[in-house]
Amino acid sequence: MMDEYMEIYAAEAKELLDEMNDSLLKLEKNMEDTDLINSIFRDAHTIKGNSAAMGFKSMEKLTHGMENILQDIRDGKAEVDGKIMELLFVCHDFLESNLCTIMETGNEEEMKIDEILGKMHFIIGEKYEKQNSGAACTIEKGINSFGMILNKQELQSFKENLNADLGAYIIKITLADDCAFKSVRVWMWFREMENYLNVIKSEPDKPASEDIANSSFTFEGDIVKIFAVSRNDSHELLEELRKLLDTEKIEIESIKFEVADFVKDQIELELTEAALSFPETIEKNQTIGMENEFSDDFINEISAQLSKLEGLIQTAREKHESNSFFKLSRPFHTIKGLAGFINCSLITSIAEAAELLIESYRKKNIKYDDIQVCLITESSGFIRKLCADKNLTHNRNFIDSVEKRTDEMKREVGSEIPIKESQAEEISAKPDPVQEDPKEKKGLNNEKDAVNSLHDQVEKKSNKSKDKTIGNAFMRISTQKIDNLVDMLGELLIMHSVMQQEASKRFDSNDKLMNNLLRMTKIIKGIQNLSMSLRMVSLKQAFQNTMRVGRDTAAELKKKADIQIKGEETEIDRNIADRLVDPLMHLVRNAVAHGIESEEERISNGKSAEGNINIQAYSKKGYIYIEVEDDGKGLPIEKIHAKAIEKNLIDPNSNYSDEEIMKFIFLPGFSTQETIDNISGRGVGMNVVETEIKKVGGKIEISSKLGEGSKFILKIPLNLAVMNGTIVDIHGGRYIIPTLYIKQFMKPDASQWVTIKNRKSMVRVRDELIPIIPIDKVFGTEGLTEGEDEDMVIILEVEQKFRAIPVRSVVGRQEIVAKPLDKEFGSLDYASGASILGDGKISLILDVEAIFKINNNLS
Amino acid sequence: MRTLIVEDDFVCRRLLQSMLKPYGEVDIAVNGVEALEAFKLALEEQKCYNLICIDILMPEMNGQELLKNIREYEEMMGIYGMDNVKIIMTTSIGDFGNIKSAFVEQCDAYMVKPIERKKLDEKLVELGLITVDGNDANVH
Repeated sequence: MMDEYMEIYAAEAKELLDEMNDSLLKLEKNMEDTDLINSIFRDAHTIKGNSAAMGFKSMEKLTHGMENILQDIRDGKAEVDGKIMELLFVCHDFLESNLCTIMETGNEEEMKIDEILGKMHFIIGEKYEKQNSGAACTIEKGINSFGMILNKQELQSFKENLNADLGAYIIKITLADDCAFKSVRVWMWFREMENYLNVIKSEPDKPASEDIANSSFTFEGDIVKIFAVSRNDSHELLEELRKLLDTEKIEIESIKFEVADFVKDQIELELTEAALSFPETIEKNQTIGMENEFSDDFINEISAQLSKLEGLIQTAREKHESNSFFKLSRPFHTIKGLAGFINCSLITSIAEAAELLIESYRKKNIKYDDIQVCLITESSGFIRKLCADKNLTHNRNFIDSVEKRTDEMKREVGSEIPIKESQAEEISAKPDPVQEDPKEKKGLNNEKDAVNSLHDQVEKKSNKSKDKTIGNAFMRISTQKIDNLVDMLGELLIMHSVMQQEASKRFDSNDKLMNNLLRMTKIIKGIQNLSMSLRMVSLKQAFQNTMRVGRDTAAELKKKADIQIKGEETEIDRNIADRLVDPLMHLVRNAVAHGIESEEERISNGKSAEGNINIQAYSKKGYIYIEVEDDGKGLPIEKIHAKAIEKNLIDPNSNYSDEEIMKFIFLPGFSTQETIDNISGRGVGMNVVETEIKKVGGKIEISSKLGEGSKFILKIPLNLAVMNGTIVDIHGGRYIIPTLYIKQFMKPDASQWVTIKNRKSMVRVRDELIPIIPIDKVFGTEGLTEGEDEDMVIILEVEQKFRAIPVRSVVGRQEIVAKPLDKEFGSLDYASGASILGDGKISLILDVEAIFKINNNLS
Repeated sequence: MRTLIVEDDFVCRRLLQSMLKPYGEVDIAVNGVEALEAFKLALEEQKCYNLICIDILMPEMNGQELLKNIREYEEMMGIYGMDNVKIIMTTSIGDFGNIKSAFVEQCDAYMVKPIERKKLDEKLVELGLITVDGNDANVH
């Protein structure tokens, strides 16, 4: 079960972190925007809650830290500036990284979040220093003398070690009179305390481990004073310290330092009345409850409710009527809840008894009676007394008298028909108020409101589905389900195609069946489009990271670049979107690193100081175009040419056009020295980018002008699974060629064939000679086929290169659903997949680009 | 026992759901507006909820408002006192202001997240919704 939650948790956290990233980027541009600050706060808060529920403490602590900063900003104690932005970005990145670790291993990183929290503390602290210089020291002088003084050095070293995670405490431990070996005992204390606190200064000085062995630590006094820091709070520390042996008394107080304290020459630490002490503290805890910080607030509120009660009782007495009496159950219910929260069972039981009593009177419709009021008044009195004197909870007499009264009240309740036990009459006599009252109201008073509201509800009921899980406008669906759906739809399309073919053989095209099948085709195509759209996601996700990458790269290289994104709502298949992330990041990084010049250079060239990078996405004719354009210095044609020669990637003697030279950057091994490689860390060089784009069936075009900028255009087909294929017959076998590669068909006449060594090796088309690919060589079936009666050719184009394949005939053209080939067919390097054609037979889909490559290698 | 969980965090409501499922049907609403609708509908269909768990920080209508609206609606429908649906605030907000406000508006319990199954069970026994051995108390 946890796995399922893990997935959900991770997906949601990722979404929130992306949103946070977005907001942070916007906030950086507009540091006063309170909406953004609130939104970031909300995201951090939600992540905190979810992480706490899953038990991820580091996530929780970190988001809590972020909340603190943001809260200070909201309260006006701090302002957003560059440093704070940096800090927030760092936090976000750490959260992201931790989330990755969680997703991979199921556990959090062994992360030293203290570092960040420390950083947080200092950045904030530094800000506060500027704001609070001159604040007075607020360490109060108390009754109990603690008498330890910290000098300036100690203060400084303490400050350096302090981070947001730690609290500072002064601890005073009194040694038991009858302790036999004081030195040993105290030495052991120090050893044990190391587990949960860090001693900054103590009297006596903290002994080293060896000191006891070589008798260099002696202690003859009665009191040990310690100034320490710890992750625990004072209660937890007290619990731990109690375990120490031979202690007579322990006093502990947490100390909050003001920034101004750190610049003093010395500080005297004092133990005030606020100190927790053992043995007394424990009893204090027992009286009201564990929530010490709260209990006063609760007691005050309970008292307030009591005053309300007393007012109502007075009214009831005066009016001498039941309704005001019944209203008393409310404050008792509230008191019951409040007391329940702080675990004060005595108050809870009184309040409950009173509430039950009033309830029973209401149910039985008992007329107002002074006696009832007395019982209630006494209950309220008991609670008053408890609020005033918490120690009464130990007072046996008091407890007895309370119990007596509550028993009486319960008997009073039980003397008539009991409320909680079900009795047939009771249930039918006390019908669901809903059923009875509205009808009553309807019949009796024609109260318009009641009737109308009922009408509304009846209407709504018929409109709402039976399923009560009222959903959102959006649903989370597993991608697995969608993929399965799409797969099955593909099958459906094929089957339908098969059926249609069979039918067309047997039936006349005017037959009703054919018409119906045609209709079905339309519907199926519609469903297919819909299902494809289910897998579509907006490019927003993919662009998220690009913004960050651009910004981070610019910051690192000390350049100024403004990144604008247009068309992020453009939708693309989910898988493709995932695969675009890295290439896009790469392109943006390159634009900043290689394209955009430094500020000075730009200004001296008459350009704006800030570089502009425009990313635009749009869809056209079944393709998605993504353009990454910069107004930088453009691709250095000469340099690229030179480098390509240097790396032995091209023929130094050939002439290349500018466009061809630009494409050299895609050659494997052409990577330029990457100085920044800590952003994505995956793959280097444009070669990888091109490969990735090719994998999703797309291509990259470059257009660039020296001194003005460059533009990279990604062209990605929308629909891979369903493509248009041309079915051809080669040597009797049927193959499918993706129509987009086909330039033209022709049946050459004798003069157009060019024969070399008795083989048809080229075909003349207009003025060009197009080489023929000896397809049987590619297929490996050389010599196995009967005769060359291939008198048609198909001219294929891959990246402006043309080749011809002789075929026997062209069978047809249709939409096909491409299925990938399994591993067993890996040796068929000329095929990219297979498909079932209308007659149920399987055909291979030729991988045209691969065939071109194979052909090149053959010659 | 029929429960309505009002919570906009996916993870939190799934966890709560798993804790309450053993005791009966659990419905979900993701904000106060839906919850109020669900509550009214349930009443009307005479399949009213025995327990509603409400988060405070939610869009549209927050938990405190929802609590108030539910109690007001109950009063209007003539449901008073101990017949009211039991409402537990299940929220990560634990400041006194909110706690006090919730109790004043007549919630029955207040639990600060993360919520432990054991503690929740104890509360359910306290509120009379389940018996000590974990069975539906069949009150309604």
